Amino acid sequence: MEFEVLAKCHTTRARVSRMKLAHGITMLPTFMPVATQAAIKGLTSEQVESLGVSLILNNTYHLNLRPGLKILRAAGGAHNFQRWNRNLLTDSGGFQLVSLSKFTTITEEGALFESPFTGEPTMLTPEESISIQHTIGADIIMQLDDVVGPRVGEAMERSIRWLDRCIAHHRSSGKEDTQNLFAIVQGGLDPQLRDRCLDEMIKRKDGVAGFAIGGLSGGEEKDVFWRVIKQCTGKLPEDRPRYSMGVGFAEDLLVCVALGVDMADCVFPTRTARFGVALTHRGPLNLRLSKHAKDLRPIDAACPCPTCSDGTSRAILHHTVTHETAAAHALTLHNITFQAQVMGRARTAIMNGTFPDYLKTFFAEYFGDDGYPEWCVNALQSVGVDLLEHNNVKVVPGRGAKWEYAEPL
Amino acid sequence: MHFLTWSSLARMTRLQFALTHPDQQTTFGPRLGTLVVRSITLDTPTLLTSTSRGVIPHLSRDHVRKSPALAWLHVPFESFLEHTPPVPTLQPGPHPLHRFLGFKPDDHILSFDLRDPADVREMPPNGNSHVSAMCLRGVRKISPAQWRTYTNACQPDIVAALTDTPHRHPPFSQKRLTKSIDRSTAWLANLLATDDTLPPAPAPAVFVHLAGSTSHPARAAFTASLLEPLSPVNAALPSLDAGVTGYILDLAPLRATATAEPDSHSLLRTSLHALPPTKPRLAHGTPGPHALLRLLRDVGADAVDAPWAIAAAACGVSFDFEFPVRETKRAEDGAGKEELGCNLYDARYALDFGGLGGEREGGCACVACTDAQDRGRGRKQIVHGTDASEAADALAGADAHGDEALPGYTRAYVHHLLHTHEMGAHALLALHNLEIVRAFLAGVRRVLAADGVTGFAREVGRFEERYLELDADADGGEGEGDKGTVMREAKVMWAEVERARGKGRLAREREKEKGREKEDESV
Repeated sequence: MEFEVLAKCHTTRARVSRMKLAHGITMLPTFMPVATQAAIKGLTSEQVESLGVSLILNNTYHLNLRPGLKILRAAGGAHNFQRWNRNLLTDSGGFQLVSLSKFTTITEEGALFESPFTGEPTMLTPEESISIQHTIGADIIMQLDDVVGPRVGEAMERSIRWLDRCIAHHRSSGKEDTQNLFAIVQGGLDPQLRDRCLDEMIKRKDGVAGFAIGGLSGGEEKDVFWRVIKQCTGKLPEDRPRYSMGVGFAEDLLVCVALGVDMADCVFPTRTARFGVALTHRGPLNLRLSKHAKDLRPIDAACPCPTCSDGTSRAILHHTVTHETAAAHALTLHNITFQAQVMGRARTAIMNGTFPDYLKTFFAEYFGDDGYPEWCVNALQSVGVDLLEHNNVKVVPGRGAKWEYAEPL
Repeated sequence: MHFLTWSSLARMTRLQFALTHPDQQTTFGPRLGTLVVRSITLDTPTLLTSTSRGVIPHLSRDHVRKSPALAWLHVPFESFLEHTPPVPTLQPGPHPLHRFLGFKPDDHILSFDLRDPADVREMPPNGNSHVSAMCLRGVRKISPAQWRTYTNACQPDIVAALTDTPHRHPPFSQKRLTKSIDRSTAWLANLLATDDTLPPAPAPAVFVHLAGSTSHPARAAFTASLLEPLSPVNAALPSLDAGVTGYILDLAPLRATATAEPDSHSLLRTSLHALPPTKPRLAHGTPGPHALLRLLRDVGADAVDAPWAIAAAACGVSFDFEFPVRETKRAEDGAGKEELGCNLYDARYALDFGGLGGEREGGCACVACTDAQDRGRGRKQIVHGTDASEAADALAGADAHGDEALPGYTRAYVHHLLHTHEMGAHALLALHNLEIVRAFLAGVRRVLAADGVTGFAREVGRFEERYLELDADADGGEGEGDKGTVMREAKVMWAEVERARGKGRLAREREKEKGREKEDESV
């Protein structure tokens, strides 16, 4: 990997960098759409690429089950299998193991679980996870980490030990030229545990190409979320990309970028598209609502996505969402473009030295009079941007995410 | 009814159709022609593809644009009756229906009908002044006046006059059939007529459903009513037929009454017998490529739909057939007939890294088989932010990797998408199957042009010898006679994946495997 920071925001911790991997250049910060089963739902690889996306995510757990390693090996890796010629990232498979499998027990050796194939007890070790990811062939691969909830300290310590095993296995594989291992910082919501994990993992910097911030986006308080992100980005080395896992709401992304995050992924934009929700710079539009039935305007007249630039009306989308897969495709194309635009504009603003202004403009347009989430105000305040400066907008406690609901009758 | 002025002259210039081979201008039999609408010229016989709720199933607009198979699109209007007025009628500007649905006036011909031609479910009865149509909120009654208004507002290229198709309780009484003919005739007259009390006549070319259902006398009577001279005092046109641009042949309702194919053809010939052979004929609802060929051979049609191409895509079947059949293609001599396609759910494709097109000469031209090839070569790509130079670098970077053209999507990949319930499978298969049907009809035209009617009949025979018929209407159970089983099998496997999806699906599949093993042991 070649990683170069091109510009830094004068106020916040935001930065623009250029990451060159085996399948081309990806500009950071960026949002990675999720292609769980080796496909962004409903779209071809060409379509995804045409949206200006150069890095997507596959899930190791799913690909390992289907199509399975034998087929991926025969296909010459996941890139070739899905005809994706750009950069690819795989997770370790550990998270889904815990969320989707029965009877997972974590031992020092690895994660013991019931094989969905045979029902037999099966062990996923850190070495095995790396081997599977080697076969998949993604440009960025993730360490196996211990993500089990209540025993955070123990899990964090084990994640450090497993990182050592992943590094050793990756080094011995001879794949270091084409595949890049990322560490995952754990430690839950406890600042001391996070700090210890950060220190230990940073010591292993020479063995890893980047750092992910894990153990978040699990429904924790947003006020805790941003503090953990800030703590991590404050310590992580400048010369490594930082990846915040499972972040996808526009306001979350921009706060993360302001705190120094370079990469994020989430199924939200593509999943919500299938349920009829279009993301816009003025907040989400729920196209299933009857208020859109006769609206002949596109989702966003200024959006460069194929759906909007073609003038696809909210009315025809309302008519087809949840009935025709073609409507899901249209909204997926739009939402992926929206995410890429939010991040693209952030890169431009950082390069031009106007990132704080971009944040203010974005929040004003996106939330308008609905009010800003308090946690965003606080998080950005902590890096020198006062969203409320010359602005009398109200502040909303809690999550504060914007959503379009049906009008009460 | 007033026949004060006719707008037929304007209407006739909307769509031009000519049979191009003088010896094929017979009433019945295969024919070659050219159909021109605006700047669009289509060689016939050509494919028309029906939309569902206004969209081609599974295809995004960019994919529709990239598919040469999709030049003539059919729009059943009934789904839009959920709102009053129907939303497409609110679209301003020229070519409102094109614009509302995202089709290009320069590339796409749109035909317009009230009902979905494939829907033969029993419906509440029509009345003397309304047709019952189906939308999500239930049945809607549409009057001929409303149909004129909607057509005027939407401006399709072709509109079908409302028709009274009897749906309940076949066989139909003479009384019911007489009513059907009288209503269909009156509703056609209403669409053609203009007077001051009605909204202006629609400019689109008017096509008429050939009514009369399963009765030869009723069909002959309907044709006679089209040709019957109109009183010169009241009408500017000599007959209703003079205002009609083309005829619609409906095969689905005939199949629904269990009419055998030869009898259907005979009924259609009765309808067409006295009508001028020079007008285009649009056929809805052939059940597969074999039946399509026989319809062309025995009756003659100029535009045909192939709902089975998308139905096959929806259940995981990838077409692999050609017309005329090639000798070299056959794997082994003496082998039985071949299926028209592959059930890509089948485990045998899990490691098949061949393209969807099989071993077609020159490869398959569909988006699924070719799109990867022109990637990174100046393909338009959205650039986000001002890092345009970096993005261009990135593009160049991709070029370096993608210099050797990537082959198209493989059967193994589509097999994987089907088993993981990914929608992309159906998009790729719809693109592919429609292209196979387009190429198939191009083959029909090639044979007709080179070898004439006899040569065509010979090739139809060879096609029938090579391929099993498509079991498009099958829903499980055993195969029959010359019918294949590929759709049947695919539908069963589709249903299995559908049932098993969600958390714990592999465990459920494992249980089923165990069950199968036990069955095998007990056999």
